[in-house]
Amino acid sequence: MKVAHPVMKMAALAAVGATVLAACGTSTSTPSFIGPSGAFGKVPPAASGPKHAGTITVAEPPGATPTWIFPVTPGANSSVYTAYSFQYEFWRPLYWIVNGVRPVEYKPMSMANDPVFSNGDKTVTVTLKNWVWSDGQPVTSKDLLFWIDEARAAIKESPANWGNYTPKYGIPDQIVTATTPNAKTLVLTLNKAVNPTWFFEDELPLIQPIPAHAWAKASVSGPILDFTNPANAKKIYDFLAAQSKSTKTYATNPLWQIVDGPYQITSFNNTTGAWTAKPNAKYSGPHATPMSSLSAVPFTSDTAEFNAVKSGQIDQGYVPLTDVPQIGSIKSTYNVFGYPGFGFNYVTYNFLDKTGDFNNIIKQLYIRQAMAHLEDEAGYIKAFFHGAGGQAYGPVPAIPATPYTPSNALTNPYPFSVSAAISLLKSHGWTINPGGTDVCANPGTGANQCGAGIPKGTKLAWNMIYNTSPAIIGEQVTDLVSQARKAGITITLKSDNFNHMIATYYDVANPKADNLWAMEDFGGFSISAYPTTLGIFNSTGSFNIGGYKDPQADTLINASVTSGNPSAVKNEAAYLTEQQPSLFQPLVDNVVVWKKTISGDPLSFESLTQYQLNPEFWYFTK
Amino acid sequence: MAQVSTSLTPLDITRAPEGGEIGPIQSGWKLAIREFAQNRLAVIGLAILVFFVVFCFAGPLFYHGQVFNTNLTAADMPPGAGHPLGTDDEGFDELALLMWGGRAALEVGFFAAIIGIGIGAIWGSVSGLAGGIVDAVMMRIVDMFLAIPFLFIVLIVAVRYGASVLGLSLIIGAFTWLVPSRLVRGEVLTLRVRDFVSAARAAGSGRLRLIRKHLLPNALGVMIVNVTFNVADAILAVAALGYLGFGLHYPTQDWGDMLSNGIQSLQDGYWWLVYPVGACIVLVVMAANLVGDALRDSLDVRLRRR
Amino acid sequence: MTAYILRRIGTSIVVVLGVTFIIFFLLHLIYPSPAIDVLGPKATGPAIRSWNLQHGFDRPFIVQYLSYLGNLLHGNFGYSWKANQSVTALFAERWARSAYLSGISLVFAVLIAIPLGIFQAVRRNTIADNVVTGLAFVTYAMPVFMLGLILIQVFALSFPIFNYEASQSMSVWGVMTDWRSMTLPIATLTLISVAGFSRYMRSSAIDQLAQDYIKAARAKGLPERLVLWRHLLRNACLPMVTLIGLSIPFLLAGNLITEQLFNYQGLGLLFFDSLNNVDYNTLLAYTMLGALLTVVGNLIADISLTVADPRIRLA
Repeated sequence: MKVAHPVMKMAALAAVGATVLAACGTSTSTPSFIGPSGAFGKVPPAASGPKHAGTITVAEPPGATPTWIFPVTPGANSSVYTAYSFQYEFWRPLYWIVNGVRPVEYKPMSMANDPVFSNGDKTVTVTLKNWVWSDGQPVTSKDLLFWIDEARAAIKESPANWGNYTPKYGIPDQIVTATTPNAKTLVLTLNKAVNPTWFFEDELPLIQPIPAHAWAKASVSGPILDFTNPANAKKIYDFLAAQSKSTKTYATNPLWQIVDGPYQITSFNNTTGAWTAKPNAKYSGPHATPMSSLSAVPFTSDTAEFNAVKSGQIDQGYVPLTDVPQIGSIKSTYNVFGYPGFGFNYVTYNFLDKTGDFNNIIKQLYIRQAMAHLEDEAGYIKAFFHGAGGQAYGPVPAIPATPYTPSNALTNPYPFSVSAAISLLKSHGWTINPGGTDVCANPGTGANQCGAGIPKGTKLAWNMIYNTSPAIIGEQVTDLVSQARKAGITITLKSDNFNHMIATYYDVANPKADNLWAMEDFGGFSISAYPTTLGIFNSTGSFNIGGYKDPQADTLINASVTSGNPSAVKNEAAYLTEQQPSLFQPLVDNVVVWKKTISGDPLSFESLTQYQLNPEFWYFTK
Repeated sequence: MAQVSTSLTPLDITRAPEGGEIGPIQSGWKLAIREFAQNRLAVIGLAILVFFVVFCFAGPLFYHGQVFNTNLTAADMPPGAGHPLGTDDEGFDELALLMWGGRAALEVGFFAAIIGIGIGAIWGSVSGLAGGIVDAVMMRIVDMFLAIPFLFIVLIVAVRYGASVLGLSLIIGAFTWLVPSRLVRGEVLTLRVRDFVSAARAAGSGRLRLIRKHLLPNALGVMIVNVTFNVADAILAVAALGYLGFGLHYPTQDWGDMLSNGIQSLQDGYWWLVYPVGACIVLVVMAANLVGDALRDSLDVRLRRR
Repeated sequence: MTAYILRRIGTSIVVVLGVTFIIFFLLHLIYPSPAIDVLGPKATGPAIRSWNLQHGFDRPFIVQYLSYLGNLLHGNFGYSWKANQSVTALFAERWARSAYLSGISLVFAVLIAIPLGIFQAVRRNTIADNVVTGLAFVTYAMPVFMLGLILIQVFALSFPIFNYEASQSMSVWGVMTDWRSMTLPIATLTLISVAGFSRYMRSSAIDQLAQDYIKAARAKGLPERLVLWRHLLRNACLPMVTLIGLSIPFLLAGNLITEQLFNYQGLGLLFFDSLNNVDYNTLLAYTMLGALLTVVGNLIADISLTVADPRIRLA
């Protein structure tokens, strides 16, 4: 079951009960998959020869049905699919920070020149390029401001009205004034200095210009209002949100026909989520000529989707992880490429669980290191991912390649070895009972003792909640528990579902359950281009699920967001990789397929693995 | 019914015998056993059940395939030396898994059936004997629970209480007592109007004696028949739960989870993860149903015509 | 009799009310508020509080229940925050497809099961009876997802005679005429049902065959064919009415796993999706609809049973 990924700003782009999901990957069947690798197959170069237009049929994964069209999306309706594979077709973000599989800017698709930071990184100046709306009007700085004001109006009504909202950080809370000195320029004054890379790569792309000349009204036939007046902004927001709730009218509402993206919606089925779109003849960005129409076909299960691929009924789809061994059967008709999405998968430790003194046990670095030694990443990739994945040892893994990967994340600092785990425990005063439960024999805070707050006789036994979907989570934790058993660590499994887990086993949101769980595996996070773990591993982070608290980590994370040091985020990642605030798990490839009769810019196929759908680059070769 | 519907039970009720004929009980049981023994399908069913009980409970004493320590280097191996039925994705031995998984399946099936029948028999006979407003209220409560979709309840329980043999048995048992309670009540109601009960009453027999001498022996048949059906249904229910992700998990193994895991990779050619365990489920469920049907036939003395 | 039926309807209303309370209570027990599920894991405290306030989840349980009940009486099943549509709209778009799939499968199952059961009863314990019984038992013993997947594997992938998924047509007429896509889902449901029905029909027919009126008819020297047609069929089928009454919940609810397996946009699939994202009002509405139909089915079954078998005293 694919769970839609709520889009997250900051470090976490999407929480993923199922990032892990549709994965796939590498071709080799050699058992030695040691070290980061990750890519499956290769994207062929764009075909030369005649280009033909047609209708490109793409698969919509289960749970990916769009339910919101207006580009200020409430938390309830936001998912990476709604944003990247639906709204982005019609309204482009200000900056395009995906380049194939690399999380860096792709300039031709950005609507503005790179931002200029001044005034001690407290003022940001954005200069627009020459883009136009589908009705011929130019895209102006007013359209940027219009979006910011509507986002503010939405948040003012309820913080839940914009899914990407993080109080106090970034857009819009850090903006003190936003001015438009001319039609091409937007100047933002911020309340304090920001790290320019963070603000450029994570914050500014959240802005999606929207047509003020057509949308700034409070009723269908009403006059165009001055949206800079907050009272008007609220009326406009209420009107546009109400229009967006009317899913039946997505294709017929004239508002939604005014776009700056490559497509205009032509039909939308609000029962199934199927939709079609035609090319926007005035699209200002790069695209193939002639451009094809688009048809998104929804699927309710991975099995049904892959059956459709096997029978050749869709032009672009994906290979569910369980079906990777069958890739051979479709290779004659489809190109196949797999790569992990940006982000990390992890098992969370609960640093506040007092049951059996777990909080004191897990506080010990050597315990977390021992757990890391019990994780057989190479084995998981071979047995559970069918080779389609890559190892990852920290919050910023070596794949996909980023400028921010620290050197200690390149090779496993705590490689799989039950005996290494045992000797770590032994050397800290534990009596080892393989198959049974280890007991603390030498309490105290010395280097060879169990550690502070761990009395004599304490047992290495605790529980672990895991998400039953996707199945690979259960497969990985089963092996982990089995390996831990060999080292005398007794972990009791409890199965659960994603929604109940995030509503229950979540120290920040539900302190009542602090003592009910020791470890949990719900999936992981997608990460935005600038991979700080702000929100996840800082002690006050709103998504610090297990209450991890480390002053050093706090300092480093703060530097990533506020200091001008370009390698701040790399330092942060290096420290967290060493400290293992959670158990980092291998990454699963997203394996995508497209018909051999379709070609185009290779980058546009690579970025499908990052949930980006850019069919404007594609054409039929016959 | 086999399908996971919103409610496991509605169609089960159709197995209610039409209020069995009452006869001289003593010779009836003998007749019944003879009748049962003559039903070849039933004997085969019984033999299958006995085989699986021995296979699952005695098997692991003689066959020591690995089901606790994972071995990822030996994952998904086809049948061959050392692994007569191959291995699964964790490198567990499939034959040993069949034994351990069958053990859990049979345990859940049996416990759930006993719990369901136990509650149902008490509830049904109290309701039937009391009659009047008590009966009406008790039966409306049965209706309420019968009307709540089974999956919905199981989802709640699986989420809140986790999946264990005991937990699954309790929850399935707690939602399968409804049908037996109706059956037992129906039996009681039918008996109440029968001549010989009226005669016994007229002759001044006490209520307890009535229950012991007449009601219980007759209701017992219904209950025995229902146990066999409920065992079958519980095994299927666990399989369906496994398919929806709420079955048992390591270190417990279960056929339902094995099948639903294996079936994901059926098209990958890992047939050994699907067909052996599928055959086990089908055989045991079928055998239990065969035995139940034959029991019902043979307990129904009206069938002595031929 | 009329008084009995009226009283029976009255108690059914009580039952339905009881069910709504139980369901509402249980759902609130695990998910006091769907706020985090709706807003996503990143939702902050203020967002959750504001959302709860906006949607009334800050009120006491009993107030929430009564207001839900009040809305139900006005035909308002609430709003699906995930799907961004009213639950009524979600159901209106899907119920016909579920009704068609379940209904036609039920009709096929009954049409096959009745003659099959009578045939088996008449030829009781012959080889033919045993073979049919054996097949029925094997089918009946099969988890439905296994049966469906095997059918897909054999008849859609290995030998591509039928489609691997159900019809994706949006009109019910389009679905009905798309036999290539609908054969496998209908076959899956029909097979499972036939297995259960035919067993029932067989034992019902055996019961009837042992009755005096059949013996009398036979003694009168009526041809066996006439005995079967005129007497047995009618009497043995009476209980089938009960059976169909009890199958009503399946009619609209469709079959969860079959719809999921074949990618069929019905109510069962809607429920399946709602389970996965805790779509509160959809879950509630679906569960209540199932409960209501079950109660109605039971009502019909009880009444027809009473009509059919006057020996049972009216409670």
